Amino acid sequence: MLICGALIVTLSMGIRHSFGLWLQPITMAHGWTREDYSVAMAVQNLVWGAAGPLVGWWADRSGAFRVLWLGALLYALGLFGMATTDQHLSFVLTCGVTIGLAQACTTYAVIYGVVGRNIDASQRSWAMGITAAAGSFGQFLMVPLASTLIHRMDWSPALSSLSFAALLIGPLAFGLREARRQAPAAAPAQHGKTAALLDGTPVSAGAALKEAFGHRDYLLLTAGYFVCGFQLAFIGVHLPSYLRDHQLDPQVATTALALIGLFNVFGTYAAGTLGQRIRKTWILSFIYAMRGLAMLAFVFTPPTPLSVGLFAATMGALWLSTVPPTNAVVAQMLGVKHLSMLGGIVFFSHQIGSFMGVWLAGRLYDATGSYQVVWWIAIVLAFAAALINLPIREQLQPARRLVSA
Amino acid sequence: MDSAVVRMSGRLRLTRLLAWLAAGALLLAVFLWYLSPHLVVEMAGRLWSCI
Repeated sequence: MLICGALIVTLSMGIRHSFGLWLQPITMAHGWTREDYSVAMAVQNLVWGAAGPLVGWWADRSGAFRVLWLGALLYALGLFGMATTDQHLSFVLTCGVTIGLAQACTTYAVIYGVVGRNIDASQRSWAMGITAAAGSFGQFLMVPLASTLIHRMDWSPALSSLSFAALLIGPLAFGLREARRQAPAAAPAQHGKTAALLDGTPVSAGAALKEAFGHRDYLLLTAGYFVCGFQLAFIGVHLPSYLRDHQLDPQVATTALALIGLFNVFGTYAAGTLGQRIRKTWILSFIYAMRGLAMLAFVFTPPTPLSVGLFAATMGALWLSTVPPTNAVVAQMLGVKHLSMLGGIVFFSHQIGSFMGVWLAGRLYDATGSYQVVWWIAIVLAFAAALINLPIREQLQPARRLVSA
Repeated sequence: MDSAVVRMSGRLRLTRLLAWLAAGALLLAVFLWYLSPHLVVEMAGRLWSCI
């Protein structure tokens, strides 16, 4: 199960990570602007986040198998549409809406629901670390692979070949089939609903949602994940531009990308493994604080190839390392019955952060002529996220649990 | 019985070591792929064109 889940995330996250490389050939082929392409990507990120809770609810209710098959078909359809359409609206519908939905069906929230329900709590964080590290590896692998495919086959056949690769998610979904579970019924009145969620008593999705949104700690975790999205999207999209502004060689950006990818694999696995031994919210605080310090050092130092390399390696180690502890805390806090849906909501916050990170950075750059203000926003947010993760309790004391009437 | 357990744990350790070595070799291979001259130039061009 873990191997199949890891391979699915490798494919889905990997393909998605290569999308920046298609900008140049697609816009040149159709005579579109970068904004045309960016609109589709922005829609994709928002649809991915917004569809997450709904897809998660379906996966929690019916199992991940059907959701993954649908995701595989949508992914293939979306990529094929990207490769063949020359109309901007249909490009937004395929690249933006269809692939966004496919990503919601085939990435962490859905896979973690299965992992959470089938792997004992004593190994859950480690298992989530393995799965997330596989996604990090997919990102690391797919960038040079996609670049080579574009070079050898031209962009349209290269995209079509990726659509066949996406179809592999379907057969891999057989490894994540779960035994049929009873449909959730209403919560018993004598229980606190958090207690019911944790001890396996049936609780409806609506009651679980109400419970989650009434939880201070769940809301803090969700707010922290917004910061993660903001920082990664800002750095991922705008770092090459920042380096160019400082007259660095274009190849420095490629090396930085490679270092982020490499260290991301180690960091993600380490965060998952450490989550078995150390309080996961402390790990999250540490990650956000270290990001803040790394960015602080980076903006105060004139960028050189060495400083960029060190920054990329550090940020790489902290890149997706928030994924395993965040999802493991949700599982620990509110149980695994509705993990895909509740994890999907936390991830939606991440995606709103991503959107803000890309959009605000561009807007402030246009307004001020530099990224300085955005760096400072990202730094302040990092330390704020470090602080708000500190008081989060992974397992709530019964006396503090919120009991819905 | 004891020697069977020792043999099993030794085999497990060896399997784990081999898995780690394979993962390390794979990561190194992909990293070197990034640094291959034609790819560095081509990807740099694409990254720069995204700005």
